[in-house]
Amino acid sequence: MRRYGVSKYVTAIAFLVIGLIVGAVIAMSSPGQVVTTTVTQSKVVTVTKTITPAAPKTTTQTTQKPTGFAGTIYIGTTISLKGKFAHEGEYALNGFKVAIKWLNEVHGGIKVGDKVYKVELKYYDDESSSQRVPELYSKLITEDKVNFLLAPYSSGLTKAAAPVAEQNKIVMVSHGGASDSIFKQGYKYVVQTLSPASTYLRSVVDLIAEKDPNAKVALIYENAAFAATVAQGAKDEIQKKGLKLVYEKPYEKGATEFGSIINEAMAAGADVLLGGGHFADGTALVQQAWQLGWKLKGIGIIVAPALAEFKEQLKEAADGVMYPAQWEIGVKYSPEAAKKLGIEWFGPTNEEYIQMYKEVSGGGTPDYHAAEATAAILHLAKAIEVAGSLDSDAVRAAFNKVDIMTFFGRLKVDPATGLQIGHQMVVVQWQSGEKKIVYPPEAAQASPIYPAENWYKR
Amino acid sequence: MDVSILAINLVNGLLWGIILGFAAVGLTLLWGVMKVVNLAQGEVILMGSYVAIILFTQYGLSPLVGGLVALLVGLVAGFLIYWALLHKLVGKVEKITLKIEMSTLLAMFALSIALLNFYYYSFGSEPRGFGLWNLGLPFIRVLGTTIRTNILLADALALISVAVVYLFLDRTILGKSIRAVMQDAQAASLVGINPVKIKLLTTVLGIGLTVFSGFMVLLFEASVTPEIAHKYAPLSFVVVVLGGLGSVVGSLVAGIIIGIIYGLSKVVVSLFNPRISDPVALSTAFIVLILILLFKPEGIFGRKR
Repeated sequence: MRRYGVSKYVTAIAFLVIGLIVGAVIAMSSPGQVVTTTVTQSKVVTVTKTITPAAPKTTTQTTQKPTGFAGTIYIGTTISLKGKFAHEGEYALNGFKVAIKWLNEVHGGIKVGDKVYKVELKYYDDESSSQRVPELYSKLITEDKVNFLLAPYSSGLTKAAAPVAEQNKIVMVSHGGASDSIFKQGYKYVVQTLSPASTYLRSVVDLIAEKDPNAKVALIYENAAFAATVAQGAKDEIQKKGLKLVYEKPYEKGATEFGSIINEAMAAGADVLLGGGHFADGTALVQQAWQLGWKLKGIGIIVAPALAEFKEQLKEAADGVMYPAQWEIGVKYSPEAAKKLGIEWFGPTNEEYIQMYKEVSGGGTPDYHAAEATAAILHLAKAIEVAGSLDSDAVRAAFNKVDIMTFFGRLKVDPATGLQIGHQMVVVQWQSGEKKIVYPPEAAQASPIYPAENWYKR
Repeated sequence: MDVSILAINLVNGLLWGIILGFAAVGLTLLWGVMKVVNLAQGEVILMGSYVAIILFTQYGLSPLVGGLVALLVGLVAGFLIYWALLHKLVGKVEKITLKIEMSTLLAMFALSIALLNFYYYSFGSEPRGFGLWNLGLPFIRVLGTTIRTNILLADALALISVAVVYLFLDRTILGKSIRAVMQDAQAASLVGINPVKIKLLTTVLGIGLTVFSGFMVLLFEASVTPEIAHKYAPLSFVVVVLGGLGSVVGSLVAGIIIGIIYGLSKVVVSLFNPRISDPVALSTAFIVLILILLFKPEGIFGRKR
């Protein structure tokens, strides 16, 4: 009976501890949901919080042309300042600010015909929620009377905003929606500044085709919409360049064990590995390819290698691995490179961009989310200048004529769909523990190491 | 059909099946002896993985030490789980009724939620593992298949553990007492076996082995996320039902059968549509579960009731 008495206390304490853990975990893990609900309830309050930062500040700072502006062009957008895209949202916001600053202060405003306009950004926080997006975009159009729109971050949110822009016939520029499917809906007013998903591995395939026309490629990718689109794009490019695709395999979401897949690919004689999906599976795929002694000349994986954790986990196995990036610090796009291609340069140079970003963000360094955002406004500004009008139909038509180079790369859209066709993904390769941009040549800072010696000669 | 692809998948299925079988040994003991359905199976497995990971990444200890510590932590966890959750529900009762079974089931369910959220809170959803660590050579070639040595290490440990547990249950007095309680708790207590002691021992052993298997799961999978719990828990139940409640050898054999069926169906489905081969192969395990429940509910090595 004594023992029974003791166990009663033990039980009570154990339940208390478990209760505390559960409580703590619930408290830690649910703020996202809670916030969403409160926001939906206090819709009106949150929505009326229109913030127009930077813009007023810019006006007071602009001393060169105090009276030169014929008016203001309002660009509306939502930014994810809370929720799962809060990190990306912050970069995007700073990216927008840099573009506005450059246009108003350095470029001296957007020239529309013989008039010069100041640019101002109007935005709301969409809290990373696709449910919030349509309502906020309607508000931007009907109440704030913005002239043009920028899409929110991510393909999911862009899909939510696109119908609103389309219904109201207002041009919307996508800076964070890479999905090709956005541009297969027949939208007439949506254009893309970043490279679409289907082109993610194209540059890697091009690089390999230049170095090794006999490469035997294994395409191993996550069985999910984004990775499958990337893989299809890679497959098309592999065929176009005449490389051999000896093995193709989609794997399940969340897969961590690749023993049979890698063995099958080795049995098929593949010496180049392309694919990936998210961070976890991409890292595991490369890790096991290494541990299984797969002799690879080239490895091109989406998403995972871009993160510093990839290098931390894989150490020497990270070297030689390539990944595609929309933009990376150190890209060498320049007015000279534009001249060589016979196209116009627009916007700040890369050095100026990084400097301006530092000023705007209070000492920060831009990443590709910021660069995409800046490039989207530059892209739009150029189209407005080419159109010589603030009419959305005229500007959309002008987008088809715009073929420029910026610090972000070349920008040109497909006239029919608005899909980005000028911009090229840069290829970054881990070389001796450091990221080096290796392709395309006009952006490269180092030459690619192919075959990857640590992988091939072991 | 390409013979090498068949061989690759069969070998991999076999290697995985051994891990799967061992992971279910603890579950089959708890279920068989105490009628405790451990709904926290997946999370308890992960306990072993995370113990080894912490020791490796935070303290730089060899994963082999980590595995041993995982086993010890598992034994202690079994002790705590018995006194905190199970003793009051099953300790003093002679016949475990449906009501008691439901209570233990709910208690283990609560434990699974608490543990899972604890893992998400402490380790996040990112994969964690031993990185590029391996014992000696990273890989060897067997039967036209390249195998990571970590997987062979995991399988060897699993086979040895199953053998030890089998001998313990078969040859020692304590082990025989456990089997006696499994067969008839009332009769066992009549011949002087202390049921509380046996139930405590079973929980310590069952949870300990399950936690230990987490180390092997980690070696096999190379990295784990809390999500892995949802992959291994349902499969463990299939293995227990197929192998027969309370049968350690049955568990191992059933694990191997499931692994091989998985490998085989992957190859067959791949011939038609590679995009769906993984999910279809995994679902065959549950088709096996339905068939077993319909035609041989006591399992391969189970006793007819």
